[in-house]
Amino acid sequence: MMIQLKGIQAGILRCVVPEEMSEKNILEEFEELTDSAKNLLDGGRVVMDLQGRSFGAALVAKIWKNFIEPTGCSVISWEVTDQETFEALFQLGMNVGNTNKKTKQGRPSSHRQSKTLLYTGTLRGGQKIMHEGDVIVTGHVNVGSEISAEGHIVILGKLKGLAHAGFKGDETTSVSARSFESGQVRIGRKVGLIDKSSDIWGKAVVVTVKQDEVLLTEWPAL
Amino acid sequence: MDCRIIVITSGKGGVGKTTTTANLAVALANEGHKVVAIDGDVGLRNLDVIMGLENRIVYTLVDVIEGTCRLNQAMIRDKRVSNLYMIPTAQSRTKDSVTSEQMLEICNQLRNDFDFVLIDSPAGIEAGFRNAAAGADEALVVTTPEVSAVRDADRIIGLLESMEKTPISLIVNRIKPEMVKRGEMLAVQDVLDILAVDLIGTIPDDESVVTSSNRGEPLTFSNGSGASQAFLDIAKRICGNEVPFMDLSGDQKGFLSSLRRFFGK
Repeated sequence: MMIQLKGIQAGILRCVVPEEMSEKNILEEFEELTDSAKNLLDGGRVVMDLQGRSFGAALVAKIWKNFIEPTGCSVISWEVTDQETFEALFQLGMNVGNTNKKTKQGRPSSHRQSKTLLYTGTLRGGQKIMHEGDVIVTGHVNVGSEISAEGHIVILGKLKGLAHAGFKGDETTSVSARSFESGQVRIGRKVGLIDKSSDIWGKAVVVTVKQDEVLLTEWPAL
Repeated sequence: MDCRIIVITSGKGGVGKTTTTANLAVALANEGHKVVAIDGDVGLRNLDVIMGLENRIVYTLVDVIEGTCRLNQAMIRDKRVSNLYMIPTAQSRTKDSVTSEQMLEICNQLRNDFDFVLIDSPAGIEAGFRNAAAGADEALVVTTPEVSAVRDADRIIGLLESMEKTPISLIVNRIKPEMVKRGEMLAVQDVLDILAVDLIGTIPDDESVVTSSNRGEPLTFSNGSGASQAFLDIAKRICGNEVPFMDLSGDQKGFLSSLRRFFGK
């Protein structure tokens, strides 16, 4: 059982880490790959497929330091099915995808079962949520942070970062925020640009697409 | 008491991390605690200058890591106050000279001998910051009331949370009350609203900070100015004391301002 590098499309490589490997073996294997595949990886784009194994933030940091940095590759996405790993990567500000796969046996995930991700707290600059379902944030979405949801996005605090509802193209989705303070919002393939001087700035807003245009409505719409 | 290892960080450069580290180290030592301040900014050494100890450097943090000397040989004792030590870093090396594991090992060695270990972090979010934060248990984030500094502080708080360096407390530095009053500067409450962490100190903009840094005499040696008092208050709050915050809102409440209000000026 060893870490595999596979070519998938347009020069993108998939790095698959088998679930059964111990932490020690993973680090040794990555060290070997750093030497043996440096030419292949240098400047290349990689999808890190961590499968269902649990990776803590410390192990991810070691992989970053000992493999990704020295080889010069860029990770376009981390694919995981383990909830703890998802959260660790998310906290590190990584682009996490493929969370809708079947979860590890015996570890239920209410987020994925309901297809709604509840994020408790403030999303800080550099942090990114990418979720194949609806997303609810209980805090603020600060400048420099991003939410991409396949479904709706609801923010109970201030929206200052970038929210993209229906990122796979669904323009029936919406973005709702208690205080709308962002210069840009996206629904499906539409982009709405909002000026600070707008009457709606700082108010509770629901963003939808109507007649092919991004529409911002003050909440509650009477 | 158990040793507390605190990283002083910010994200953005030039907001006052090193000045804060130096002043808090002196203030905590004055409170009777045994304190060591570590310069974690490898390659851009400054803490020694601000603490006025640059002429006494023989060994550095990097020498300890490379085994050239023992840890206590790199420690410089400040003769002006008992129980205050500083570990300088190397000026001629780069951030790669220290790893997170090595920093953690050094902090763990200091844990048995000190009440407080303060680590002055470099600006940025790369390896230098991560190494400086690696050995710490908790963090003080310094920002100024500027949009760019607050944005960087927000980024760094996110990283500190993911590294589980909690509690994270906030210091808002260089507040100009008159500008706040005119609405030309973010108020402390605005900063808190964005960053959503606990406030531990507010420091007024004070010219004496520059002169004290240039002289190598941290302000907290001579309790005089507003900034000096603010650092002393922060040290007390770090120790768990309840100290009221200075009024830096720009709303003067003194006798003269009352008189001005009375005469409608």
